[in-house]
Amino acid sequence: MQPIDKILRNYQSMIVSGAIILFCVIALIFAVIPSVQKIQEMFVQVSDIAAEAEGLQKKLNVLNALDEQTLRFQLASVLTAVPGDRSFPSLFETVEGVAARTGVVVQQMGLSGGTTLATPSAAKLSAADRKLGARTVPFSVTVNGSISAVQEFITLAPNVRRLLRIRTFAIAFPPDERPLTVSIEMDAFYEPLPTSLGTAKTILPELTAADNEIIERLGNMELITQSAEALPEPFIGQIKPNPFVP
Amino acid sequence: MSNSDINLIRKDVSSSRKFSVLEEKLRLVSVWFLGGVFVIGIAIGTAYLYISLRVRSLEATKVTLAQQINLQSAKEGILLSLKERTSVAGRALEVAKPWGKMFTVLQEIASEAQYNSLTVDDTGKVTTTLFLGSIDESVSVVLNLVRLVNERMLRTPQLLSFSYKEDATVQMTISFFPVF
Repeated sequence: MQPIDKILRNYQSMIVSGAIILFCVIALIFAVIPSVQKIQEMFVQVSDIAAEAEGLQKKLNVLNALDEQTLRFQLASVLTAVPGDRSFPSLFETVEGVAARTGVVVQQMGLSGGTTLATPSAAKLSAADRKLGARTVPFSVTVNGSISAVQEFITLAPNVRRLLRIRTFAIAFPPDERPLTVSIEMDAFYEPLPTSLGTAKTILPELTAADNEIIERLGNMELITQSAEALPEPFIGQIKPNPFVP
Repeated sequence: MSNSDINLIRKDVSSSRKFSVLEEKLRLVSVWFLGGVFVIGIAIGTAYLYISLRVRSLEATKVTLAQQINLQSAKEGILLSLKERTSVAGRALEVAKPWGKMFTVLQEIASEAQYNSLTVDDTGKVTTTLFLGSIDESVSVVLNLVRLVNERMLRTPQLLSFSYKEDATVQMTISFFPVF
């Protein structure tokens, strides 16, 4: 032990300095560097959270700027053009209304293609619907009338607020003075109401100028139905006391 | 001197000048190192505290904003419905064709009495059968078709069938695509 004591005594200053340096190096490697990395990660986390908060603030600002009554009015107008379900009553009422307006007589009207009785949100898109990018209700109608009345019917039908599309039609011209018979295959459009909004971070859809133009155009289209269906109360955000009651 | 004796007088081991210089430098380095680690530690601690407070503040802001947004869920739902519906309406209006204008074209081709049948298929092609009283009328129909093509009221007219009957009447079937 004497040589060790001697060494310790003789090199005491250097040993202490060396120990301090060693401690600092260990602290640097095992504490400082990991801490710096952690700080860097936290900086990234802060910027991410700040971006999320900014996004939420922007969304809130947009929502605050919108007038709910105006939106409800616009939705009511657009719902008459593209209802939330197949709405067969309004479909038939529209066709009858157009027929009455134009002077043709409806001989036959029926659903064509494959339709299900499932709720619209459960129904799968057909191939034609997938191609078009919209849900349709194909139906056929046969009308009688003069050529001018038939022309008016074919002109007016796609321009009423319950949006209809003429896919094909066939006209039979009788040899005598009897009215024409026209068989028309048409589509009506619908889109189920959304059932969930997602979270607060979900991006808010914005109405573009083109959307506003379409809304205005639909509002200017004539609504030819005998009875308009009441706008369903939005239940998003509210809990229905009895889910089985419409 | 025995082994139990203790010599309290520190023997100076810095016998060489170089060794003493090295010892001094090592001492200085250790002091600087220690000071540096201490300062860095303080800085890291301060930064950590600041960032923690900032994160907490931002999280609280996020929660508040999310609550305010959820209070306006009805408005958001209406907007979402409106957006989806206008998208569908836009597509519907896009694919709609003004078939009423086709009747103007038909009147330009022949008179109503000369038409027997007319069909329009999925592609928009119009196929019509006419019963005409004479060859001259059929020529007139063909000339009208050519004129309407030049006027860009229809395109790709085709004569699908032509039959001349014993009583000099003509039955012809034509097809074309009206231009809207």
